[in-house]
Amino acid sequence: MATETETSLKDAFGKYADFLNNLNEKRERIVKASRDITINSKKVIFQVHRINKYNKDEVLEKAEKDLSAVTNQYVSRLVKELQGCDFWKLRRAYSPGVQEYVEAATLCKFCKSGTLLNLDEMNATLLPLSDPSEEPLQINILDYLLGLADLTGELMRLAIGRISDGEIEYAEKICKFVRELHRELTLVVPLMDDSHDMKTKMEVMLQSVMKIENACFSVHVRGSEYIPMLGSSDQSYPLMGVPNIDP
Amino acid sequence: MHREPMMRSPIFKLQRMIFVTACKPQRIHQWTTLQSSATEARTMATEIKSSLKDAFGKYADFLNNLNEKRERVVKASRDITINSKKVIFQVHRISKFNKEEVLEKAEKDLAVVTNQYVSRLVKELQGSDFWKLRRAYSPGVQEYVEAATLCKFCKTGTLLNLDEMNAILLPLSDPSQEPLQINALDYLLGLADLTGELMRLAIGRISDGEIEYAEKICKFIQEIHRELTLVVPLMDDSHDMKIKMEVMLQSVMKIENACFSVHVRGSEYIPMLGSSDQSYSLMGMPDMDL
Repeated sequence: MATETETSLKDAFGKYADFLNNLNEKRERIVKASRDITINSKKVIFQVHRINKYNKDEVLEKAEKDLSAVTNQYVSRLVKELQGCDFWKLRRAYSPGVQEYVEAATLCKFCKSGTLLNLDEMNATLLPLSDPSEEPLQINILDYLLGLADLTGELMRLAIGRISDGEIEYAEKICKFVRELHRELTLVVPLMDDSHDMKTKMEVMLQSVMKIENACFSVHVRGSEYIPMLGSSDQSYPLMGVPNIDP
Repeated sequence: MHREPMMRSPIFKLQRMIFVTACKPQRIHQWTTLQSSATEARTMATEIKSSLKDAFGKYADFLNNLNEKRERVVKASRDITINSKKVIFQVHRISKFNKEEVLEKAEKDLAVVTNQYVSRLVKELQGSDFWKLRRAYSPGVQEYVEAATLCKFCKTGTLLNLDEMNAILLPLSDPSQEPLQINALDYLLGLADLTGELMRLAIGRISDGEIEYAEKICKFIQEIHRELTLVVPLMDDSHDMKIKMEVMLQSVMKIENACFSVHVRGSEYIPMLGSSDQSYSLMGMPDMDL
């Protein structure tokens, strides 16, 4: 009888070993897929940052094309790996990739329409990628909020860039948007469980909001002290009457 | 107007234009001069702009390629790490009964790691600035060194040295280019990790009763630790090594304590069922197979 128990114990442990090995291999594939999503989403974000008032449409068009490439190529790989299994167990493996993806998608939507891409719309774009026989893989709220927090950092960078290009109204639009995000999230975050990441991101978000506000303030209130840029219609003493010089 | 070479730079022209504008009486006469110098400034600026753009375009391509290569190297390194760890786990299953089969499987797996994953890494790195990407592939190489040296030790009780390892890697490299060799730093970092695995192996052997094997491991580790303690203070860039030296010291102490406890206090222990020691509680009882 001791041998029987021994064999059945061995078999049981053999099954545990196989299960754990498969889980670890799946986790490894998911980490790789997540890294691919992260890198390509970052490329989309860099593309959006190249925007200025002259090339807005081409830049956004290319960004949307790249973003759909990311969705169809890399996010679909992730969905295939995760579907039908305990995807919550592997959340820490794919969360960074999903956050970057949310960041890129919301940034594109904002630059196009000035509105926030909400979670339902995002999940609607992901729906076709899932196998219809199984429960579709949806981005969960936590990853979405973490991605939104990163979005504010990118919007800060965009706003500073727009100010240095002279597009002050655009920067003020971004300022209002980021302020609203920060305001709403400040009410939500204390009520979240498992909110250590969010608390760190809220501090960073506050810094971003302050940076944008300071920059808009400096340009708006102190703008009259600055020598206006060559090519603007403001009359100012040193270059009065000189025609526009294209650099 | 006679122009020296320096006068042609656009910035200088701009300064001249501003100076000219400030002098009112001659404004109308110099207006036409201003226009033509503005046109020249514009053309030259466009030329400079497009050649700068090209240069920056090349920089952008170079950096993009480097980042993509780094990403592939990181992925290859992760594969090497995971499969080397599997080899190490395989070696840990060793016991005095199955020593040959376990080591045979471990060596087979290690050869697979070498031919499949390390060769991928070698292909990516060859011919490029592989030192620049060292931080990307270093963890994988360290695990590989750890696995290979552990196998060699379990087989022969000796240390697999760097030249032997690089000789194994030589066939993987493209003969037309300089072969990719494991550098001394990654090798030493791998050796430091090896001592941790040897500590685990030694404790395992003691709990199986193979005390002589554990003492062999103990001497081996003591020697590695002794030699490395002399080398590490002289190393540049030795922050990683210093941390690993502290961990190594803990490993050596653990093994020494374990061997001591078993050796010196062994008589206090009830000898294992099946051993030939006569002891009071089980005197005369026949061997029981578990």
